[in-house]
Amino acid sequence: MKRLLCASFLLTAGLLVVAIGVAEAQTPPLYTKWVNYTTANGFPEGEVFSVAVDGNRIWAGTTHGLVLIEDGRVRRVFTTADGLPGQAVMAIAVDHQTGDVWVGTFGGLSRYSGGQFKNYTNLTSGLANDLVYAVAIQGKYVWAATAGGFSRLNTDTGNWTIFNNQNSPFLEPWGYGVAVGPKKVYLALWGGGVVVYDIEHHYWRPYTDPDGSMEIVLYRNEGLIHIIVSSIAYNPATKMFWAGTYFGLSGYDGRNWHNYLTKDSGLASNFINAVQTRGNEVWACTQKGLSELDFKTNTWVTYRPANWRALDTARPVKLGRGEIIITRPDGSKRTIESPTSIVHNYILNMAFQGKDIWVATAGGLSHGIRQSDKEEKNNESASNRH
Amino acid sequence: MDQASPGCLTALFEVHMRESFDSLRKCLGCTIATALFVGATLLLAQQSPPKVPYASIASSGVTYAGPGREAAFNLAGPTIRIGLLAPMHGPQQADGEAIVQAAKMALADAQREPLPGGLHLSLDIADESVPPWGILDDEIIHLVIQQKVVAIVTGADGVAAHLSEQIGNKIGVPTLTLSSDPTTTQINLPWIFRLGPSDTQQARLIARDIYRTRGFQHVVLVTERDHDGRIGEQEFVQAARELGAPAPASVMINPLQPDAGSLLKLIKKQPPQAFVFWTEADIGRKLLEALHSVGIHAPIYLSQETAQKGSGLEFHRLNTAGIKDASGVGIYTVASALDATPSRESFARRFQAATGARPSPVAFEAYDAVWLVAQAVRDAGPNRARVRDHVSATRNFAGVSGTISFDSQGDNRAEACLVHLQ
Repeated sequence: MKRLLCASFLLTAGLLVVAIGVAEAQTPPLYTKWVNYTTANGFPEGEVFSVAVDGNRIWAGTTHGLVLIEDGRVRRVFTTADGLPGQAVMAIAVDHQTGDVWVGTFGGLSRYSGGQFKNYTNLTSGLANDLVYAVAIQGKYVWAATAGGFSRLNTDTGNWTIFNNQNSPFLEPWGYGVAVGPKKVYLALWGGGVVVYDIEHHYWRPYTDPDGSMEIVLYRNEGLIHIIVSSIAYNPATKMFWAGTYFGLSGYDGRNWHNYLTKDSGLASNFINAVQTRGNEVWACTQKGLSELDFKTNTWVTYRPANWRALDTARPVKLGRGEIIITRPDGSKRTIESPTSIVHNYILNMAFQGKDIWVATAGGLSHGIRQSDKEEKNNESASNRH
Repeated sequence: MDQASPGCLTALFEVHMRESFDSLRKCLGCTIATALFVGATLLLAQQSPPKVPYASIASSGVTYAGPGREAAFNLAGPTIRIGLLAPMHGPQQADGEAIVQAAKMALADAQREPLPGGLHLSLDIADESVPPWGILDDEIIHLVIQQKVVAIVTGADGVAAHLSEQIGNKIGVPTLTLSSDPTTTQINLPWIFRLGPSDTQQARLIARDIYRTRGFQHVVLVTERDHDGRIGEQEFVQAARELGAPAPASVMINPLQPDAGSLLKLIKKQPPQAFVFWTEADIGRKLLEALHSVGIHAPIYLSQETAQKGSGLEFHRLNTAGIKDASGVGIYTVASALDATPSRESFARRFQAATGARPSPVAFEAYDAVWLVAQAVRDAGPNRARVRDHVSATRNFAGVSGTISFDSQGDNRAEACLVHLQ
């Protein structure tokens, strides 16, 4: 009996080790095919700050207006001449119930509905400030993160509510990001960390940098990694929120913090412009590439052009092949090349479309098409041989 | 196999159980002891911070890996604009005028020798004293998007510096700030550079003089209930703590209704050995007048922002020995430079000839900020990213405010010193 128990224990442990080993050895699904939108195919020049998926339509916010892509083509570029309140479009949110597109610009907030823009500025509405960095939809409410605080518009009544350091537990009024969960709204503040608003009970919960120093991180997973938060995302599958900062990535699961810096992870850069998440995936839009964390296996994948260092120089460089860096939990790295590449290493934001991704970069918009199941299997067997 | 009797088996079982129980007890004891040891170690580890932090921004440095350096991103036209934020009305108007005057002098000096490609530099001035939310941000957007400035130089106001930095970070425009707010450069952003001493540097310098040189213990810290006042208070309290000194008694002034009453009430109970003011210049002036009226005799230390022209005080140089001698009454502030260099003296003379007053530390820094941008345009061309790179590479530049070298965070490494005010 003892021997049987012992044998079963050893077998279970062995299977567990093998299972973990296999899971670790597996290459995550990759994006090996990229279709890019640049000035070469009618896209405006300059940075793409934001991107949103609206069924088959893609909206992109750029330095020179709002771009609509349909069926793989640039259909329209909306500018201030078309009614946009500002030329630089920082944020886009699609209300999937009404079909309205909410656009945050450096000149105010705008609602694109029925082919018309209706603009909201701090002089004509309850918008706290005209510098709108992020927009999110929470049922009938539209939230806008602005340089003067957060504004919430009730689209049924037209009433506005402003949340700032005068009436909310914010250290600073500067809003930089907003994300919506089923019961809470997550606010990212420049200099104020993350503040969570409980929708049902109307209370606030601030999260700041526990060591109180902006220049250091005292302990790795003690709390929010930096108090200047550039972006926030909520993951309904894991019930976690993720905060991007200019000094690393922070995730909070309700009990523990999970912080990542380049020094001990596959994160491409600590300078994070935006963060997005779905399932087990966390995507960090950094200045040195697009980094994906598989939170379950702690495996990282970073996408950037193979010649990315040359892209940041003064001479013009032709985009070549893509570079994919896979970082395992033990820190080992493997680099593979893809025939096509994301258009630039300086990533400003991204959005999901089914299995595909759309990536806003400083050099244009990139559509990442996930490899087929066949390719995935080939990759896995190659990875196992490796 | 031997057969054992049931009685023998029971006895064996009892012995075995006793042994097992004994080993279990020992094991339990060991486990509790280990748990207590681990717990105590963890508690101690939690109480004493690690000698080396897990990570630090200063050691990682700030880089810019973005685009914009190609000729296609060059700003068009023969006139290249430099944005300048300065307070142009209200209590800080005199400081704003000094900043504008210094900036104009720098621009004229920088263009004595023509720029390559027939380029011409001009200043686009925006009023920093307007409300920051709703007006100032629109002005900054106007400078960045419509006027296409190559860089922005901000005045001493911390909020204006943050707004310019936030916009500059998104669009890609360098900001050179005269604000002392240390949090502008503690972010890891590659687009901001500070000319003068930060609040952290100022607080440490003042605290060292008060607590170490003079050996004082009882200090009153006066701050303003706003962003800059809060940061100043944090930094001075931290600097005192670093020296093992007692925390200063704090008085917070409402900038909308400045009233010296609470300060006078506090010092009536126990006159302090020194005062530290971290307020705007006009409020500082009112507080100084209030202290003068009740005949307070204690050294007063002003932050650089408090000591601007609005304070009604005049600057003159004083060496460190002079500071030590000033054991009694005196008013002091922090400046970047101590030595009189020919360029510094020449600028001060010309400035005084033009305005009738000696330049404040902020005016010296404004001259250098505009000069650095002008030189960057001359050497790197009319391109925001390349101007950023050029400014970030500044090392041992002999400016009128001192020798300028930017560190990896964008802070000027120049030594700061205390100066005497009259």
